[in-house]
Amino acid sequence: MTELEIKGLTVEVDGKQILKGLDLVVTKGETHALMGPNGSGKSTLAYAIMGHPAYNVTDGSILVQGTDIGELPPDERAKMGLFLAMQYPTEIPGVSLTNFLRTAINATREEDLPVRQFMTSLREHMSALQMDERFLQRNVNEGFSGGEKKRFEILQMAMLQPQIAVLDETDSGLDVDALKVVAEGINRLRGPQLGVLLITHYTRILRYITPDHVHVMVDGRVVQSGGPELAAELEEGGYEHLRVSA
Amino acid sequence: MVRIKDLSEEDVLAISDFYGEPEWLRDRRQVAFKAFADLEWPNSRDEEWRYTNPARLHLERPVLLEAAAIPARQEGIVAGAVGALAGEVRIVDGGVAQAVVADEATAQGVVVTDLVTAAHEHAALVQSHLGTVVGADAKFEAANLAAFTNGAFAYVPADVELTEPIAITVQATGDGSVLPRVLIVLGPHAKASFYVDHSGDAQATVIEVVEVVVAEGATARIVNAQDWGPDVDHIAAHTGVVGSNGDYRGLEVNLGGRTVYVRPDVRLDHPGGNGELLGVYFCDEGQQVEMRSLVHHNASHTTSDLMYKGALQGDSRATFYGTIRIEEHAKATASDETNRNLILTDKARADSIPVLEILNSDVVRCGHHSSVGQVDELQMFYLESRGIPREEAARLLVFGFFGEVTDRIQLPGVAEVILAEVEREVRSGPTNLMDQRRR
Repeated sequence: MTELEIKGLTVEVDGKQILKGLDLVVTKGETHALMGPNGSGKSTLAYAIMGHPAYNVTDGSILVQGTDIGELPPDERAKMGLFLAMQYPTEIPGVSLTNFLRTAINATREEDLPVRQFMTSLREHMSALQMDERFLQRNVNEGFSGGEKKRFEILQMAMLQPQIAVLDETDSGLDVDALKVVAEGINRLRGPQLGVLLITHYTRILRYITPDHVHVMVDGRVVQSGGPELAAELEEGGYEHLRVSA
Repeated sequence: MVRIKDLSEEDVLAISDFYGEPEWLRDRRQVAFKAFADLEWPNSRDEEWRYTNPARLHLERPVLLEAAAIPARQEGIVAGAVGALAGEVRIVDGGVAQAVVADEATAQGVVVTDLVTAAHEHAALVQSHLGTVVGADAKFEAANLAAFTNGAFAYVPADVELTEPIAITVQATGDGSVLPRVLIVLGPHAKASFYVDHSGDAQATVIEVVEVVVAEGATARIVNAQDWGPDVDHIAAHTGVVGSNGDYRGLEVNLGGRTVYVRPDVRLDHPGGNGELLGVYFCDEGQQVEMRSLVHHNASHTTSDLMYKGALQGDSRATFYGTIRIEEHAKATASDETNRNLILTDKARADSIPVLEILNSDVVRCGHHSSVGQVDELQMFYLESRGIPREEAARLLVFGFFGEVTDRIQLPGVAEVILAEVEREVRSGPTNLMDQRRR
């Protein structure tokens, strides 16, 4: 079943066109890797999918289970099962991690999850991600190291149980050990109920997460799609030859 | 009819007669009146009134001398936060409607009563402290000392530590002007907390003084909270004077009123004294609030910390003007002040002016931090992307913003009621923050 379908999407940021007619389909149960050089528009796509107000959709459409979500605010998109793990998670002083997660979960489920059930589930996922319980006392992303921020993004994904997760450069800024923990966290969540769009510049994370499909993005469009072998080719040859053909 | 704008000596004597005061107090009022008469009315060209135009103040409202009946409904925010009390004084309009003190506190020598009764029954105490913290140096302070409409007196003797707080409520139920005065005296090594609560929906002008004497080694915690209705003008001096190794912790909560001008000051006159001034304000449509604070390091090894945080919506305006003054003879002091403002709507405006007057070079630490900003759209997007609706996200951010202050409030029950009020205000206000496509 098609969960996320992007058709001819063009997006402007500050009047500058970044996406120039992008097509992509992500189905539940599949993992797609979206690769491309810096400036190709990968993060723009991620933000546009989630509805960031600075990313202006000028043409094309984003459909979730056949419904055009172009006019929906970000929280409505989250309620439809979309999730974005951000490249640079925002620090939110004064808002505790626990309070934030409970508010988010109750908002997306549209009913209150009993506190005990919430805490049990939270502790399980934290332990799997090798996150110390002391995190519970901290404010959202405040003073977190790069690795802690990325783990927290995956923790949120685990707790919110989205149907389609967009992971924007979740591998960036991680050392090998942290990368393994985060990749394992993502692999644990993969399954027939989840579609993943893994956005990355490097093939490094693909050693731990094997995608079903690989897409290459250059200058605001998907220029090539294939299986996992495409990632291996990119590791050998880089993006240069694609830039020419684009 | 007595009015503040044309207050006369005859008015002052009539007020003294009305309350049946002892001779010495009548003389005090007269001396204060002379100071009052010699001072010019403030105008907007005065540095101290640059941000709040005194012309906004309703000084023509008749002065009320009688205590009205205690309203059935408790409207104040902090009065409801406390359970058992060591004592309570309820000021309603121009007089004291009720003053009670717990037997246990009385047995320890604690006095909680109205100011005029105290002037009769505890003359020596009142005589030696009244007007020593807030005198008649400025127009409104002089007006209060000359024409105060009764008030409250609380005394905690040496070495007495009260576990339960003393509550003083100031309520404006009738249209007019009132000049309540509160005198709090803590003897050496005494320890007590005070909840001073202001509320009322009348068309009222309140010219108030709360003076607190903290003797050596004593600790006073005091919250001055106001949640006035939209037609109340409030001019107040809330000041503590701290003895050696004494500790004064003042919290100002400003939520209501039309024009509010408060001086939350602390004077560290003796070595080792500490002052902590915290403030929370939330301003709505039509409101103008100024907090003009002075932290006065007037002795060596004194320490202070000030943190005021406010949020503004509608067309409201807030000014924080905070001075830390370190005298030449005050060596090895440590001080810090922080003021942060969160602007929730385009029409709201905040001025944040920290001033450091440091007259010697032997300073351990003296810092200031000041900001006026809007809700961070990156933070909003982060919360919204997790399914949290925009209004709820804004509420979380406003709470988080105030958390830095409310987490430091040690008075039981107070942080909770403040956050509940903040929530009510955030929900009530028209904020363009709610605009989806705002950038």
